[in-house]
Amino acid sequence: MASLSEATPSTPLESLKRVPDPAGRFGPYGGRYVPETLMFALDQLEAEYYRAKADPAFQAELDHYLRDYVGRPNPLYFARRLTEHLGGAKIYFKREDLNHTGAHKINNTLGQALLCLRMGKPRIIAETGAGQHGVASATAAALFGLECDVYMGAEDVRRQKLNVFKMQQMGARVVPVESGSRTLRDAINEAMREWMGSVERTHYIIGSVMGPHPFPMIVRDFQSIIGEETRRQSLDILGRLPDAVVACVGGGSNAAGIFYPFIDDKGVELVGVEAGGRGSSLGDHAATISFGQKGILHGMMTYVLADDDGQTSPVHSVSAGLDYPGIGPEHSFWRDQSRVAYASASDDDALDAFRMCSRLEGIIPALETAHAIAHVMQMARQRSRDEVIVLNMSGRGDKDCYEVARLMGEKID
Amino acid sequence: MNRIDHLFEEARQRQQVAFVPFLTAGDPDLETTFRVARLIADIGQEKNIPVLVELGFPYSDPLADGPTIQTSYAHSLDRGTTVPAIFESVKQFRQESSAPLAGMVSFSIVHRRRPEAFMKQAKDSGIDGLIIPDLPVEESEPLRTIANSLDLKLIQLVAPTTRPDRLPKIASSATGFLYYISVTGITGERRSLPVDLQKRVAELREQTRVPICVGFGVSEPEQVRSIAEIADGVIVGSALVRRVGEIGPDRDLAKIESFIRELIQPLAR
Repeated sequence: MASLSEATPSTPLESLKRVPDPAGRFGPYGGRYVPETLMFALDQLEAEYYRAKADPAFQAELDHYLRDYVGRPNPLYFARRLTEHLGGAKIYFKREDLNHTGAHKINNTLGQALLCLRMGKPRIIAETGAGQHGVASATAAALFGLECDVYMGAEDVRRQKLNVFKMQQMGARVVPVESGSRTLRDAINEAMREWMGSVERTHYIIGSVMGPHPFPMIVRDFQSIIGEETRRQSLDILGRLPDAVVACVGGGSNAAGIFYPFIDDKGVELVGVEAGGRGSSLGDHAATISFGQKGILHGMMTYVLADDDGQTSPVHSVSAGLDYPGIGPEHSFWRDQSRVAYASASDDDALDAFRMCSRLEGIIPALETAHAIAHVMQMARQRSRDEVIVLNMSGRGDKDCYEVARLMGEKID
Repeated sequence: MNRIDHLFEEARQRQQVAFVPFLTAGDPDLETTFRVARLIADIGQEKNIPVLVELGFPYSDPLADGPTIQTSYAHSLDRGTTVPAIFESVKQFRQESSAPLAGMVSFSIVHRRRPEAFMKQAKDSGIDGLIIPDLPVEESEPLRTIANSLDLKLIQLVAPTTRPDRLPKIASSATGFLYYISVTGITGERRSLPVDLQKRVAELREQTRVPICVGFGVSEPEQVRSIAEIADGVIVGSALVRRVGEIGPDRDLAKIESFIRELIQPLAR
């Protein structure tokens, strides 16, 4: 009966995918904890997003840019030598590193830049940690002729000079943020403050599945193309779904993007890998889910690293992109639902994985991604050869070469 | 009667406009913060100006604040200021002063210390109301219930970007006073205030009988004078916080005193 099948929702009612609710909640997480001044912009963005989502012309335009500009779909690649070296489960890489600009971030910035155009705003601002989101925002701004200011912690400006140069070449202004820890968290604070004074003509492109509603939902949706492709490609190449999908987690956008389409596939194990830094003491890592508790940061309720007074704790990671004391609210929800497992990899493990992947596969990964590789290497050794693990190769490591060389005691500039 | 309600009730009867100084708790130290609070309250008494002190709980990631208050919060936290220490200082202040106190505190702090416990401790220590700048009306319902049971005022904010359809909801849930943010943006001193400020406040006045205080960007006597024509209270933050931050190691308050005397002269009756 046609009418019956039409009435059947594609996502079952009990699905964990039916979030957020209208208030922007993922279970108890998410919501909007922002100054009143921003409420108008968030309402406006939410309304515009729902209109765009229902507009086939919007989706067609985004698809066009994702295909012809970004180069999607990118491959699901069998990492033969790494697999043989470890002697366990088969490892596949989802090649987000092959996207234009070298990471998954562009999936989100193109979508949000198109939303910005729909809202008739001539300017975007963005925060950036490692610089990948800043580059992807500057790219989208150049592509669509928008003004672009990128807020970046002064410490990260130093760590990621190459990306700073790239952004400037594309016409963006990079604003070093000197407050607080001078990293990603402070860049977000500064971008939010700037947005408060310019909401009428400016759209803030948040770079991860975080911040006040509707950002976590919008960024997840734009990044979900990663998981949708991976799912299709798995069925094509393997004839089945993978046994596990692994991704690194800072704010959590590449992980949310690859996990979300698999959320209802209960047989697929999902693992997020946080930055374990140099130790388990507060201040030595950025492993928010592993060590944090429920709190408020950057407009959302989620797991955070904070002290007894709710003051945000300092964090450390070798990778500027994971150096964040919070995590997207949907990850907190998935954690509490036990749908996604969260692990961590140390600075040293990530650096080892960075070198191993470069040597064995000829792929220099981003330091963020190297955390996930480190965990996959551990997992693969313990799994049978029949099993398949997909790793989200979220970004390439060109940007990290200077920093890795510095840590190795070599000088290349 | 709650001290905030009492202050505005008296001010209404006497046709006075209140002065609302904002001070960061713990910058340069808690003792000085409350010495400044008492000083301002005394000047107010002398000049017949009602004074309501807004006490900022320092927070690591204040979204709505400009560089002056950010820096001040950072100084206070670097000195080791904690929530229990602030409550302790408020208790001591209460033994010497009956000036109403409104705590400006991030929901991150309230949430981490559990809203019920935080609000009870705030009330018990002598705080009369809370301004939680990152808790919009949609998220504030559970706290309103607790606040009402404690007779603690939960002060709501209205911004220039607040659309008319949200106003009734905010106005109807406001207690103590309504905080009108005069400019679109963060806290900080500004040369001039928006031209439509008067119109916006008048619109707000139609929605509510709760007193309206105006803040953000106020730093000069002339601005105080023009706001006093339309509002029930004038809030001054960054301009004062900057000067308190410049107090020397001898903790001499002479410069603060002359600044305040000049600033609030337009409110004297």
